[in-house]
Amino acid sequence: MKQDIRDLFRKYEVFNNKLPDTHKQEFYDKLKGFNSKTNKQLNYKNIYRLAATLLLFFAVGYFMLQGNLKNQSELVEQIETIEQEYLLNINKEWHNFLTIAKDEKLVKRYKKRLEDLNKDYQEISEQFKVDTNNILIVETLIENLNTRLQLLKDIQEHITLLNQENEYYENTTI
Amino acid sequence: MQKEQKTIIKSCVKGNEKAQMQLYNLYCDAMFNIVCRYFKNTEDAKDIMQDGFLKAFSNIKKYKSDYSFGSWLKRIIINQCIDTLRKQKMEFTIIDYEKIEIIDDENWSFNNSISKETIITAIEQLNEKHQIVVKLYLIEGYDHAEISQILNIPLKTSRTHLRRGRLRLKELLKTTYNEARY
Repeated sequence: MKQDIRDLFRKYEVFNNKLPDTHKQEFYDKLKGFNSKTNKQLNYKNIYRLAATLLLFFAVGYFMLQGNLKNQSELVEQIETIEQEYLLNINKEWHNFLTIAKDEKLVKRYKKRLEDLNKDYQEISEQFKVDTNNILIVETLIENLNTRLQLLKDIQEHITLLNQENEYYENTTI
Repeated sequence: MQKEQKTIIKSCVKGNEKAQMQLYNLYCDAMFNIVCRYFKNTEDAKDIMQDGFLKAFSNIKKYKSDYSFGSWLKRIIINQCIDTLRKQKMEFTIIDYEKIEIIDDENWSFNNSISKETIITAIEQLNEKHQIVVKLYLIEGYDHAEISQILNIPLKTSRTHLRRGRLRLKELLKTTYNEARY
């Protein structure tokens, strides 16, 4: 008679071997050591995680701040260039105005107006130094410069026009 | 019983030492006897079994109740045995595959007068590599796919080891049987 020995082993559950008496206590000690080690590892993991998060937070903060400062300094530089350009033009126009304007009262009046505008400009500049990121301040600054330039241009145009008219009348009267 | 075990396992997931000891007490004898099939020294077997339990506890979150806890644990214990055997420099791979596939691969018919104990004694006499595969297949009930996973060897190697082991076992038992007969 033959038998398939695989069937024989399907029911193989004989526990012939006996564990040493102290095995439970021994395992309990091992378990305690193992658990405290695992907990420690978990704690370390948490600390590392926290440290990594903080590091990331500071790094992002630092770079954002750097970026902001860079942006701000770029803006200040741009404003300074615009200011220089305007002031140069204003100065040039002022001298042109002086050469063509013969009315002292007019020159005085315009000088006063320009000085007032310049005073305003200095005040706004102080504000800009405190709050470099405010677009309204920047706009007011440029508007101020523009007003001064436009003012000089307008008056010159007016004078030229007046002169032309005078010439015309002079010519016609002759 | 199963409900109670589920509760114990849940507590183990939370790292409850009392529950871990309860689970150990439930399975230690069975697992110890499994390890004893691979390690004759009971002190070594006990250490390997206990290390296997610790590994199981640290991975208990991965246990899914689709399988019985016993077979999940058994797999970890078996892996622990194999890892230890590997550390002892045991090699499971083979280079010379048999070219001809033997057809009677499934033939495990032995004379029915041969007892289980005699077969086990004969298995112990097999070459180490063949012995492990025969034990995993015959005693533990794993198939070739599982054996190749456990031992990290190709399926073909597992089949070859098993075939060689089975043929050698037949030879050994033939002698025993004949000796007993005469």
